[in-house]
Amino acid sequence: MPVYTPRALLFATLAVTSTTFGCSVISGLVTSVSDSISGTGNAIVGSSESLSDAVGATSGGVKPSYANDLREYTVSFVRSGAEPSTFSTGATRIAADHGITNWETNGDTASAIGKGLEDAHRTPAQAQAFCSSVGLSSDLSQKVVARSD
Amino acid sequence: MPVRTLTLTIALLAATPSAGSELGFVYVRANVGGASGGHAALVADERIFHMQAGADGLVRLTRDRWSHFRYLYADLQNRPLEVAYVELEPAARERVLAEFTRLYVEQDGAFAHRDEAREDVAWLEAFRDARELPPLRGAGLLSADERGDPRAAELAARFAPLLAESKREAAAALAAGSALRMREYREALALDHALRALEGGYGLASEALVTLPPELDPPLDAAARAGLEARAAELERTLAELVGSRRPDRGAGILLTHARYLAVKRSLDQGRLVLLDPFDGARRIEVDVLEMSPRAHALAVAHAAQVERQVRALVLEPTRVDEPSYTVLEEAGGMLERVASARDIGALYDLGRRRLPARGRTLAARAPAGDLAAALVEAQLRRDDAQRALDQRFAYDLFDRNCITELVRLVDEAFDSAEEARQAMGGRIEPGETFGFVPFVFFDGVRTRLRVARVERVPSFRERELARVEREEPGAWTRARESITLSSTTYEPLLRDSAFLLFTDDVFWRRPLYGAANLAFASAYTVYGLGAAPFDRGARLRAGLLGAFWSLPELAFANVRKGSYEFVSAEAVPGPDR
Repeated sequence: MPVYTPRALLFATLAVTSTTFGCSVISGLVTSVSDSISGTGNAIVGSSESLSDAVGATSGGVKPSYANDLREYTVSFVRSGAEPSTFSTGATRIAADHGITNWETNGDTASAIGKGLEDAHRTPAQAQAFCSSVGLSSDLSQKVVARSD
Repeated sequence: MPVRTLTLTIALLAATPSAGSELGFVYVRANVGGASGGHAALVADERIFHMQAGADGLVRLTRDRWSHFRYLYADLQNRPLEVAYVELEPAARERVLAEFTRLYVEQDGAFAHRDEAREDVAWLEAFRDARELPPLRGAGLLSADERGDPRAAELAARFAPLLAESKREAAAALAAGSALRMREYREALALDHALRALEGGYGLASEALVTLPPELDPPLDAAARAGLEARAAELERTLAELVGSRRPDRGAGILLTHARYLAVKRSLDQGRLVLLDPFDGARRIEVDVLEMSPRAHALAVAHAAQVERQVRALVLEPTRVDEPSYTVLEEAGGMLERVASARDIGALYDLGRRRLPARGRTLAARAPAGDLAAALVEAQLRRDDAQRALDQRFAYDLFDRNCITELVRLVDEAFDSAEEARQAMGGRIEPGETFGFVPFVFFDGVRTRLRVARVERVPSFRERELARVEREEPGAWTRARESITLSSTTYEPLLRDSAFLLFTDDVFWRRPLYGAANLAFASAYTVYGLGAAPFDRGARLRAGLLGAFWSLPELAFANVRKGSYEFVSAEAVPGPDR
């Protein structure tokens, strides 16, 4: 890429002489990130429109990111072969990152887990076995299996 | 960029990013400070994904709202943004977004695994040394010393008959607790404590509450009261569901729901909003506020108060009492308290992340069964393994693993083959290309090789302010005044921007000349800083030295430094979501 070389070399020179060149968290305002920034993002500036988005995001607004996260988590969990009893811990963590305390009764949970099992190519029978092994309630299990069918 | 054309680009801001089947590749221009070489991100609808290197040296995928990202980078950091929108099939777009979500979830799990191992070590060391145990998450929301709360007593009377099975479960889990399974042990402790608190009528711990300044805490109106009544009913339902659940980790949820119920009831009784503090005990961003001026602080307080009022109005509607929205209300209250009392504006930028209140407290507990020393060694190994795995996968490297390289890699990995990526995006940016880690090289690649439908530019805050000032006071004098940092009406010099005299981001042929002037100014400032060092801990000396350093690229026609802002009111910013 010769066309970039002079500017890129200048960049590289600055990069090795300055410790601040990388993609660190923006300076001035945010100088460091704690070891485990909660990270769901979705922070808002404060105008009425973005506040409205943030407040209504779970009711069909901007994005169903809790459901997406739980779906991807389910896929990863199934494929990883992790200890079944730890599924609940991960689901609780994901729900908490979206401001949800009781994920078992959340309306998006069954669908998200069901779709995740479908993505992981689990049959309804395997989905049922999965629900039992990770300790989902019978009510939630039924809904999950119905969604993954 | 010529100022006259800015008005056109400002108009472009009205366009919502990435409508339809598009993905936007965002290029953030350079500026002094973190990510000073520039930055990149992926935007789809209102969502933005970008990789950031934290203080721990690990690169982590961050998700944010486009409006928030733009506020941080284009306004506060004063960096122009460019967004190249690539057209692709909806299915291909979803694959790319799913790949980012997958990594996000995977990283979250990996960090949580490391943190859990760290927590295990801390608890086992405390047991071994007979020291005070680390705080248990959520246990500090309620207090046995506040048993006199009549609402807590009412709740205890209603729930006591429902607790028998859960109490047996908690007692059995505690009795079976093993030093080798500390997470389960902590969950059992939390459940046991939560049930005791519920049965014993524990009241709200005063330290767990947000204390708003009286002038910023208006009485509840009828609509807000109706919203809170609905929330209280919903919280009681959730509490019953959690008590009846068999989830072993439900203790923290019971504590939080119990505390929230009491806070809502107290709000109704007192006619003023009582909120749990979501920042206390929660993980959060640390913010440097050393330079915040009284004027900027006053603006931030006014802004925080306005935000809190808006959130109240939005959340406290009987039809919108869902839990995530209520969490935003708690955040708004916590944010206002912090901004008003502690000059901690960091909370302002954390709003909307939906953290749950989790104030911890140390409990007295017997050590779990098993060989503590052996369990500690095992936990330490697990912690070190988890940290090593994180380092191997996510350690930051300017050339090989930065915000650009990881963005390129993730997009590429969304497809099964190079050919599939090429077909989906109209071209391909290959991971590991020469100079591929450089932000502008990456963005040039996006523009020239991918199927780009359009490129939009988001001007920096100063560019927009400059356009406004020049509209109001056209003329050479205005331009000259605004080009000098010391006389500009649109910028106030900050030490963190380094010492400089002339803006060079909006000139090109004069840039080396301006750079020489900046170098001379920074050199003189360094001498001044040397004299001031005993009084300001070297802050001005550092600004002078950095000022000289960042003048050097200007001598070669390159601009990095653009200045930045302590605070920008969101209302000052045009656009559809501001």
